[in-house]
Amino acid sequence: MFRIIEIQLQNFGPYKGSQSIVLPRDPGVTIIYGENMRGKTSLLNAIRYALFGTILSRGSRNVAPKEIVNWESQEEGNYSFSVTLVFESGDSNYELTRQYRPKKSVDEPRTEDDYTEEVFLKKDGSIMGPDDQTQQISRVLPEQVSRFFLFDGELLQQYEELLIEESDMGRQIREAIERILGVPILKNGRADLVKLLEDAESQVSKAAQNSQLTSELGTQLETTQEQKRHLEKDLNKLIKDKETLEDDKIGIKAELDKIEATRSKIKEIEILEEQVEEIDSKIYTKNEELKDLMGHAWHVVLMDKINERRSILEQQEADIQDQRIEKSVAKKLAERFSEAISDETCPICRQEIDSEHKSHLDSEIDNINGMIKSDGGEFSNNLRYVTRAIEGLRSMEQSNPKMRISDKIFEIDTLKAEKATKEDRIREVKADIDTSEESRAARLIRENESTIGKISVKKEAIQEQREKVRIVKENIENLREQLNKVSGDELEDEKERSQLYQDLVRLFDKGVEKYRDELRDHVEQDASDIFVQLTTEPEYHELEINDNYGLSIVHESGDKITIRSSGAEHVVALALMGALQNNAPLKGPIIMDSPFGRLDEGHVRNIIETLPNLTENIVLLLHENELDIEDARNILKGKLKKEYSLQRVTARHTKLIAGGVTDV
Amino acid sequence: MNNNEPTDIIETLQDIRRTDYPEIPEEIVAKIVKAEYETIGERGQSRKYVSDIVEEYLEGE
Repeated sequence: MFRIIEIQLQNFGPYKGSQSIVLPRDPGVTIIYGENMRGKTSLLNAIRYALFGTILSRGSRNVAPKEIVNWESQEEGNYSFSVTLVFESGDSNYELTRQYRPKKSVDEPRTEDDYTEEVFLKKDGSIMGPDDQTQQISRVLPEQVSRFFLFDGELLQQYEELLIEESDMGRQIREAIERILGVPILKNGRADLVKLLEDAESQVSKAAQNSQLTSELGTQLETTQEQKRHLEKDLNKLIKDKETLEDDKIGIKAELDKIEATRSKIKEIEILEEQVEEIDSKIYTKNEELKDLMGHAWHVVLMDKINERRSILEQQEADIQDQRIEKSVAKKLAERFSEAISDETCPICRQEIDSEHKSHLDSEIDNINGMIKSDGGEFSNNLRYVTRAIEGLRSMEQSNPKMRISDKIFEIDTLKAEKATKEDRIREVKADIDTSEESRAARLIRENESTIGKISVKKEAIQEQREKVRIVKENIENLREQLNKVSGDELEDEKERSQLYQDLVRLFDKGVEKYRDELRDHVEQDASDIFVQLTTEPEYHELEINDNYGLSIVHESGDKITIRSSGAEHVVALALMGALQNNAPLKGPIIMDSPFGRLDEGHVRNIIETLPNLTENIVLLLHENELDIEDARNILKGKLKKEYSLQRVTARHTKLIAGGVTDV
Repeated sequence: MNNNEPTDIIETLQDIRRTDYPEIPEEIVAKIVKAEYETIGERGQSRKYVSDIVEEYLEGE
């Protein structure tokens, strides 16, 4: 069991001066609380740096150590930093120190070349030699498996790759999983036995050459063995080349992902610029309309007069209409009078009309006709004129440009404001991007395509080479059988050795496959058990493992859940971590940075409850929004062994305080 | 599977040995696995250990 006892920091990242964290020896959980940017990830990096000399930023990219020196210390002229890890493994106590400082000849370091790094490891109080210390560290915690002990949410996300067949990242993770589970013990054993078998066969062929009876077969066997060695050497080189290319592909993809943000920003600028052009065109159109309106702006000045004139004309129109009605009535009356004179009878009372009344009616008729005739058509003309004039004035009033001009100006102002907002955003995004990255993206895309092509060529070559090796092996087998027949009791020792190695190689061959199958079964079972404890969805029944150790959620109906939320992904990854801890020969601490960011309260509670069962030494680097300190205490009770909080002194200086946030 | 020793690996190999390769001595298998486990970061060393284990057995026969 690898157990961290103490982490001592000197000017590492935000940890100015000498500071340390002492972890409890008793099994349990330590929680370190800190707001964002206070240095939680730096603590994870401090452990990583002490053990492996690497520091990772987001996206698992390496950070140059000189970037880690505390800024305030640098300003004070101190350019060094160091981390000391005190830990125990097996029955021994260790103290590992890695320090980074400027070379003696350098006063003010500027580049990585101005620095030097020193590492020393004390085992039970004695300093180990450089080779021994490297081996010891790699035995305590190989870097390739550190991802299962030191991780954050981002790293957990990568486990989804295991579900994708032929994924290069998946292959890398699968290899790391098999490493922690001990498969390399078997694979290394097989590799050693294969080499020793070759030596033993070589001894057989050499011994055979010494006897007249078997000399020819011995020579043939040696030549064929030599041929096999060459073919296998070439095959291994091809496999290695392919793996290097696959690793390159992962690197290219990571680079492309990194600049994907820039590419999307460039796209955003293009869209914004198009929108600004559209707005400009709208402003131009509106300005033209405004100009047109301004051509009628003089109407505004006359509007009162027009109004007044229209009222007068309307009055005139009403008067003319009244007169028209009056004349029409008079005309009708004159007609009735004429009828009455002609009938000599009153049309109303039906009495006879005498001559006096006739004369009076004639006179009235004359008056009316005189009045009607006196108009001479002027009446109708006047009315038409007045009506047209009113219509004209009304139309001028309706097209009153005052309102339309102010509407147009408002529309133009709105468009201008919209344009200014978009231009601000363009400036903001432009300031945020590195324009050289666009050409870099194009180069990376070309490299990616070329690498895919090269991988495909290597795969074909590997297949051909394997076939050649198979044929040569068959030849060796035939020669060996012939040699056995011909040699009789001769070469007994050599043949026995060779046979034993051959059996051992076959045993280890089968062993690798069987052990892998057993591991997958164990990991699947343990991960399922942990998952059921962690998930808040009662219908999720178990996890199902694939050849890559990728885990799918199985619903109680037996169906696999094909689309998983990021929260579910997180829980599955944690279940895998727990299962690997259970099944690995190597036991160690779990140190998690902001592990609950994507999870709801129910899942966080379940995980906190389950964590102490996964391993003895657990350190959680949390911000308070992830888990309230009171909740953590209530859930963990006696399993919570220690609390630390990261207290801000300045933006570049954080203090490690023993005690939870409420105790500070 | 909860230990710091490669006992599961040894057990897996012994199962296969018993069925398919009973002529391989039981103790050699365990010794080779332990040698590989203890020299996991030292490839050159592990081969020498394995060779010594086999030679020791052959000489002792």
